[in-house]
Amino acid sequence: MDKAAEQSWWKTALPVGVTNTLFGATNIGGSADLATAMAPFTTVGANTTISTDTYYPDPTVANKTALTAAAIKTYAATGTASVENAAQAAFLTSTTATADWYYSGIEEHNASAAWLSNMIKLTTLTSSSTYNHSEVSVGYDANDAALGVKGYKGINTKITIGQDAALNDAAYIDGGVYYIQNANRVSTDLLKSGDWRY
Amino acid sequence: MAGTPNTWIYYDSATDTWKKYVDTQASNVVYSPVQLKKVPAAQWVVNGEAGFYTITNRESGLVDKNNTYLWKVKDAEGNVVADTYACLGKFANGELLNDTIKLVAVDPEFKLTDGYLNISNENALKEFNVFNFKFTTIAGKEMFIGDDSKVLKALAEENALNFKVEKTRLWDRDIYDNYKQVVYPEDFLTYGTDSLMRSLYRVYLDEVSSNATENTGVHERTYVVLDGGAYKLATYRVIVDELGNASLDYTDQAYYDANIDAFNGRIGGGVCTFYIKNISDTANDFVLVDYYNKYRAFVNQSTGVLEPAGLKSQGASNVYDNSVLSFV
Repeated sequence: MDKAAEQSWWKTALPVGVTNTLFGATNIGGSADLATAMAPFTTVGANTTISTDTYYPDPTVANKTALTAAAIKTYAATGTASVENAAQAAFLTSTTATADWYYSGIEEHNASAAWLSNMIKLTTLTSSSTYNHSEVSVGYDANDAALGVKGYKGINTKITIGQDAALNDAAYIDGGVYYIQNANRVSTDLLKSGDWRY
Repeated sequence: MAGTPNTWIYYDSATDTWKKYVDTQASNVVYSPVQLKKVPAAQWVVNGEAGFYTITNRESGLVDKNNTYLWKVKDAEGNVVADTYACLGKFANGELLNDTIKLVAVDPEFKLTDGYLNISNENALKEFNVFNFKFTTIAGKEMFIGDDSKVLKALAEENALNFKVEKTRLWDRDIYDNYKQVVYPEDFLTYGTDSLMRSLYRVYLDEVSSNATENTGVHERTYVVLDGGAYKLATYRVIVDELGNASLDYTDQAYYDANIDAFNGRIGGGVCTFYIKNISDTANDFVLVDYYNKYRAFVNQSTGVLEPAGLKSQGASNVYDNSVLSFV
């Protein structure tokens, strides 16, 4: 994504002309009032949940006037000294392409410390079914460190299912007609372990 | 007990083929601590290879796993548990619950016709194939289906009626019928899984005046019919051909015209055409599944009358227990 596209994206990602309780302001986004739009990032408390949709560029949003360099610089000049806003300012005012910026769906966003911070929530699978799933660990690596210099707070990783390992355990079943018995170890109210399925 | 799905077969004139319609809403999955072996709903067809399998219910056609990756399950010591497989499950109560199943092979003698009464016309005509329908759950007494003023009712044993069955062609000999094909419903397999073949029958009273050597020709037959919310008896004049197929008397135009709709039973009511479905592991326990009307016969516990009820069991009012008839 080139610089212009990113700026355009960021602007259109902000809701236009509606009251946004998170940002606490109206008519933000799509306007030149970028500072107003950005301000909440320094004032909203921690762990504010932001809908994923808020961040996706919406081609239907009207009033997509391009940000002017002046507006960006105004914002950068008035931004606070926080790391987040310094990073934002650096990003918005830089003139080189930032091809290694990534953005993916964010489910939870820690607004007080966030600037495109991804948070991956790993949920432990049911304790009764600990067999047959790969343990997933995600580490902070050099790639993340490089992105971190630019203010990226998350871990840029790709999670894949260990297909080779799983395939070794693949079932081999002769085609045919079978009865099915519930072999789940834990019974529920409706489904008892050992019941037959009809 | 899983219900019998609504299915019916129709002629598609546009493509000149016979097709099967399946009402997929009618099927459901239930679990029972008791293993029923004969009921086709308890049997699942497994197809696939190399980890990915599709599991389809033999009766309802319900697809439980659709090209789903199954893996072997290991116990705490790391040993593979025989015949037991797991697949990714669904989220429930905040947990991802994998589904683990154990497969138990159906008897290799298994036939596609298993699960429903399967009797040839030739055998059906024979004198020994006369059935009483025993119904046992009223006050613990053995009750039989008998005739109470042409209404079928659970009565004491001395009133038991002698029934016979005749295999029903889906389309009878019909002087207006332009279709060349003669179709038996058992020709139609289930849902592309080739897992179920079943025949349709009419049920009629044994004709005391006839004998096995004079089956052909014009007969008066008293059939089980659906009329006014109850199963009753009604007599029709039929012609039986050398193969044992009964058709409404088509030599008498006026009689034919007046009765063909009711005899076909395709307009609601009239002569009933039944699937006769195994309902327990007892060989002769059956449920009468009323094909055209999409009911199953059940005995009203207040009146003893044999009445139509939904294909699926719905609460205490029409449990399957009240539909089980022993053919004795």
